[in-house]
Amino acid sequence: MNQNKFAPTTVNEYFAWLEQTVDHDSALYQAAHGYLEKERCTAEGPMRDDPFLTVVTRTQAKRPDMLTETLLSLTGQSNTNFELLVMGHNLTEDQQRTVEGMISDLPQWMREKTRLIPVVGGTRTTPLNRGFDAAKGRYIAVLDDDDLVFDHWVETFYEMSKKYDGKILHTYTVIQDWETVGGDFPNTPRAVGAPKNTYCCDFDLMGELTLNKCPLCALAFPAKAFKQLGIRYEESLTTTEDWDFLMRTAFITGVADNPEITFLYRNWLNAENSASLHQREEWIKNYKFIVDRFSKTPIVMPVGSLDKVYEKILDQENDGIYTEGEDMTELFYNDGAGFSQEKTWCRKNSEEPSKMPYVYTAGKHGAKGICGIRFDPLQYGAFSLENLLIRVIDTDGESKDYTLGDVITNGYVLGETIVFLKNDPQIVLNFATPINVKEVQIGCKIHEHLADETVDAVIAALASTHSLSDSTKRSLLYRGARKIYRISKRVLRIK
Amino acid sequence: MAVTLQIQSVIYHNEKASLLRALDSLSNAVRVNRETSKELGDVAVCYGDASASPVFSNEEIGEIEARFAPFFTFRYTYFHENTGTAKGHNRMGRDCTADYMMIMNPDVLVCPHLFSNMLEYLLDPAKEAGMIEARQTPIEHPKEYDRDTLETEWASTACAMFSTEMFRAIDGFDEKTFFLYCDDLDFSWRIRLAGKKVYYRPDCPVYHAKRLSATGGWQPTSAEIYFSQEAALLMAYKWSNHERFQKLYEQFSNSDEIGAKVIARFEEMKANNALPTPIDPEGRIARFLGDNYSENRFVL
Repeated sequence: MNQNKFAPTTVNEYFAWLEQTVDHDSALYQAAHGYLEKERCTAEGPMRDDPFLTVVTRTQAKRPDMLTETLLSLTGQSNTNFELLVMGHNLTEDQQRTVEGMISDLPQWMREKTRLIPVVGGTRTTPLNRGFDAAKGRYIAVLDDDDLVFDHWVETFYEMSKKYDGKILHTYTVIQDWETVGGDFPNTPRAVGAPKNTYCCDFDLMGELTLNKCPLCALAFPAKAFKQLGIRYEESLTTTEDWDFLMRTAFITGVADNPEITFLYRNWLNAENSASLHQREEWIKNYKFIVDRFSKTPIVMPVGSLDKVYEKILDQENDGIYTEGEDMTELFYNDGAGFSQEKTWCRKNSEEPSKMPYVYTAGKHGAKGICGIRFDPLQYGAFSLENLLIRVIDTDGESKDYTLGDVITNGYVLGETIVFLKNDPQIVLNFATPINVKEVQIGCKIHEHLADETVDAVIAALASTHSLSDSTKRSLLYRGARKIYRISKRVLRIK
Repeated sequence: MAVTLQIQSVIYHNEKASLLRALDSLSNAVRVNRETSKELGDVAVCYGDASASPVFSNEEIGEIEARFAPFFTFRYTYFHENTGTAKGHNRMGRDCTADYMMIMNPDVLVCPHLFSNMLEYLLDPAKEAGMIEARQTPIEHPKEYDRDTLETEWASTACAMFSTEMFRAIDGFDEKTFFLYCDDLDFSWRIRLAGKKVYYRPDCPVYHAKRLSATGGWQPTSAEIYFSQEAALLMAYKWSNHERFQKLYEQFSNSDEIGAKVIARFEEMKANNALPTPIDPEGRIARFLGDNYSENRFVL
C-alpha cells in the first residue's frame, strides 16, 4: 500500500505529520494512523465522476436576460461532465414557468443535465444548502444567475482535481464593470469597463481571515466536505455567506490554486447586487459574526503558510528602510484617464546601468495614446536627485530626451537637483500630444544621505516664501529616526 | 410569412467537437424559433473549409447532414485554398437563394431566441436595417452603440445578419482588398453608404470562447498583428483618409519586419493596379479615432 496515497488536504497532511512524529504507542498515533488508513482505502478506489461537477445556480427569475447568458456560458464549456441544478428561490407560478421555459429552450444535452429545484422560504443562503444536498457531483461549484464563465471553467477544475482531489479548487477571476442597457432593454447587460485582474491572485489563508479575495464562482468545493464532514452554509447570514463557507471548508481541506482566468465577475453599476441590497450595518454584523467564529476555531495551517507570515513580519521590519541600490522606483503612465496604481510598466535590466539605470518597457508592442508618465524614485522623502534625463522611445523607435525643465515635481528644485522632503516623491512628464510609447529610460543620481547644507538650502528657500508644514517636519524627523534605527541594526548584527 | 436563411462560416483547422457544438446550438435555436415565434422557414448552414486538408471526411459530412436534417440543410465546401474570410463568404454567398444571410465565426454558440430577435429589425421596414449584429459574450466587443435606437457604426461578423438583397447590392465583401480583418468593417460602412442602418442587438448573446492571460489582457500572434496592420493601412487608403494612410505608411516603413511586409504587400498591390478605388471622400461614413473605427466604451 502506498503510504502517502491519500487526498492532499490540510487535515490529512496534519495527521500524516502526527503519524510520523508521535510515539507509536501513543493514543494520538493510533488515532492518526487509523484515520489515515481509512483515507488511504478511500483514495485507492476509482474516482467517481458521475458527474464530475455539480453547478448550483440560484435564481429568483428577476433577470431572465442574464440567466439566459449564464446558461449559454455553461453550454459553451469544453468539458461537459457536469450537472446543473437551478435553485428557484421563492418563485411565483409565473416565474417558475419562465424558468421552466428557459430550461426547455436549452439544447437537448443541456436539458438532460439540468434540474429545476424550487426552494420556498429561508434566506438567500438556503438554496445553496439545498443545492449542495441534491448534488451528485464529486465537486460542487456555484454560478449565480448573472454570472459568466469562460469556456474552460469546468475543464480547469477537472484537470486540477486529478492532482488536488479533496481540496478546494481555486482559479483566477477578472472583474468588469457592467450596467443594464435601460429603455426597451431594462435587464439586458452591457459591459462598460475593461476586465481588471483584481482577483488574479492565489488563495492566502492568513489574508483571507480578514478579507475575502476569492469570488465564489471561481471555486469548486469537494462534495465530501459538505456531505460527509457536515460543513454547510450558515443560513442566518444574509451577506458574505460565501466567505464563511469557503474558510470553514478551507480550514479542513486546504485550497489549490490555478492561475487560469475562468470566471468573469460582473460589477453592476446600475443594477441590483448584494452590495446595494443590504445595509452597511448588516454587512458589519455579519462580518463580526464570521470573524468571531474564526477566532473560536482551532486552525491547522497548510504547509508553507508560515513562510508568508515570516515574509510579512520581515517586510514590516524593513518597511521604510531604503538601502542604496535597492529598487523602489516605479513608473506610472497616463493613458488619458489619469495615473493609477494599476497603470505601471515593468522595469527591465538596463544596457547602460551607469548612464540610464532605470529602464521601463511598455510591452512588446508598446502602449498607445500615452499622455504622460510619472516617475516615483523612492517611496519615502528626505533624499535628493540630480542630473535627471528622461528618454522616451516611441513605437517607431524614435527617441526624445527630457530634462528637469520639462517636468513637474513635488520636490524642491535647487539648480539641477530636486530635493524631496515629504513621502511619495513624484516627477511628472506630460506630453503635448499623446504618443505611442515603447520604452522609457531614466538617468539620474539619487543621494539618500541628504547633506546638511542641502537641507539648510531648502529650509532657507522655503522660509523665504512660507513656513514648513507639519507633514514636512514629521517627514524629516521620521526619516532621521529610521536612519538611526537602520544603522543601529547593522551595528548590532556585526557584533 | 416564414423567411429563409443561409448561415455561413469559414472554417480553418477548427476542432470538430467545437464545430459540432456550434451546429448543435444552431439546430436548437432553429427548433426554438419554429416552436415559438415561427419566423423561420428553410434554413441552410454552409461551411466553407479553407484548411490545408478537409476538416471533415465524406462519411462525417453524411452523418452531420443526417443528424441536423430536421433543422437545416448542411452544405460543406472544401475550398482547396486558404481564402480568408471575405473571399470565403463571397464564394458561399454567390449562389445563396435564401432571403437572409447570417455570417458567424464557426466556434460561436447562439442563444435560443437569436433568430427572432435578429430578424425583428430586418423585417421592420421603418427601421431601414441593413445589418444586425449579435452581442458577443463573455467578452463583449467594446464598440459603442446608441442605447435608445441600438444603431451602431459598424458590425462585427462574429455573428451578423443581413438580407441577401443587401449583400448583392453592395457586391458582397471586398475580397480583393481584405483577407482576414476589417472586411466586416468595410462591409458595414458600405451598407451605411448605401443608405441603410447598422444595428447592435444586446439581447442576442452569442458565446464566443476567448481566454485572457493572467494579467487580464490579450496576446496577439504575429500573424494577427500582420493582418490587422495590413487591414488598417488598406482601410485608411480605401476610405480616403490620406492623413492616417500617410502616418501608417511611414510608421510601418520604419518599424519591424512585420511592418516592412505590410508595405511590400501594399506596393505589390499598387504595381498590379489591385488597390481599391478610394470612396467616401467627404468622410460621411468613415470614422477613424486613433486606431479605432468608432467610439469604444473601454480598451481591451
